[in-house]
Amino acid sequence: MVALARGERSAFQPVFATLWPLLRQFCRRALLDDALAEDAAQAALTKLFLHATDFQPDGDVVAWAVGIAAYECRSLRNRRIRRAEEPHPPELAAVAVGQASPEEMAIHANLGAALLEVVQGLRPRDRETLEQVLSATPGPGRDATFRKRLQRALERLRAAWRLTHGSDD
Amino acid sequence: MAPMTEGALVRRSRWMYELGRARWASRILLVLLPLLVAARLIGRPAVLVVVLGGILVTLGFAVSMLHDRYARAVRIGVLAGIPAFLLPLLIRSLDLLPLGEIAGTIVDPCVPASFLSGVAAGWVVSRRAIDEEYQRSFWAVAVATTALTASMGCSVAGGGGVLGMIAGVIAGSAPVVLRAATQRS
Repeated sequence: MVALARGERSAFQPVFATLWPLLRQFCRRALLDDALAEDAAQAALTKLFLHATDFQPDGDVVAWAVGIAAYECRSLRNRRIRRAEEPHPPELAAVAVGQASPEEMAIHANLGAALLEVVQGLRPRDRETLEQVLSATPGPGRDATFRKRLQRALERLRAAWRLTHGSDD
Repeated sequence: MAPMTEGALVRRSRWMYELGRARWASRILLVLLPLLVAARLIGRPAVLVVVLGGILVTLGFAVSMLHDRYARAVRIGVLAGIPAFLLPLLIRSLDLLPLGEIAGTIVDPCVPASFLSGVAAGWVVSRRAIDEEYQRSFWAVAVATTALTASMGCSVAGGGGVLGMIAGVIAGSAPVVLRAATQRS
């Protein structure tokens, strides 16, 4: 390493052959994750060679190399935590963008059930009128009489809703 | 970083090493660039400073990147060349010595000044070179650097000044080189 720091290119291969397995092993032990350890060891090795010229002749090569590797391991681990790189559950990946969330779907289901309950409490004639509108079937006579009947049915539905669930605002 | 094969990692590591050396070698510019600025400030021609300075900077950076010993050679060469760079200029600008006449020929005092400062530079460079493991290559780089540095000042006396300086460097180096050679044999 001292020779490499001075500029002896012939020392490159021996330094690489010695330090690469050492750094890989260290990173595997530190991270307990082969893929992440490989990344950390590679980053540490390239950084080590970038700063090889700054290596002091009286320095300890292994301590220096392990110090760089430890820093890389810590950085990678922190970065992974920050970016929450853990893979998402596959069910979430299947949810299409724009589709209602499970929470929205549960709210709609609850409201539907509550409305059905209130509708069941109405008079049969009003229920029939509302069902005709909701089912969008033409039904007999959608004239002024039917509109008047629908208006009265809706008023009773609102009144029943207020009575059961409070204000409908 | 994307995972790499070992071959790719070797190549990348080698590239990073060369980048690191280039960064380290660029420190020599902190010595060379102020010298070139000083040369311009004391009125040396722009063409001369650009040409000689360009060669000096390129050579200094390239050999410093190659090995530490050449970086040392460049530093020693520049330091040894500074007296030869300044002395003729001082003599000319301060008019310390008048033009002399030897055997009917007018002699510019800058020429002997260049020669003498060349002798001193050659002696310093050679003394330093004999302590090195690779003496010849160290000496060659240091002398080239000295010559380029000094030429920016010695050229005030024209080609005679440059030739006088080079002769001085050789004369200053010779005793040290001969002595080292006799000690080895």
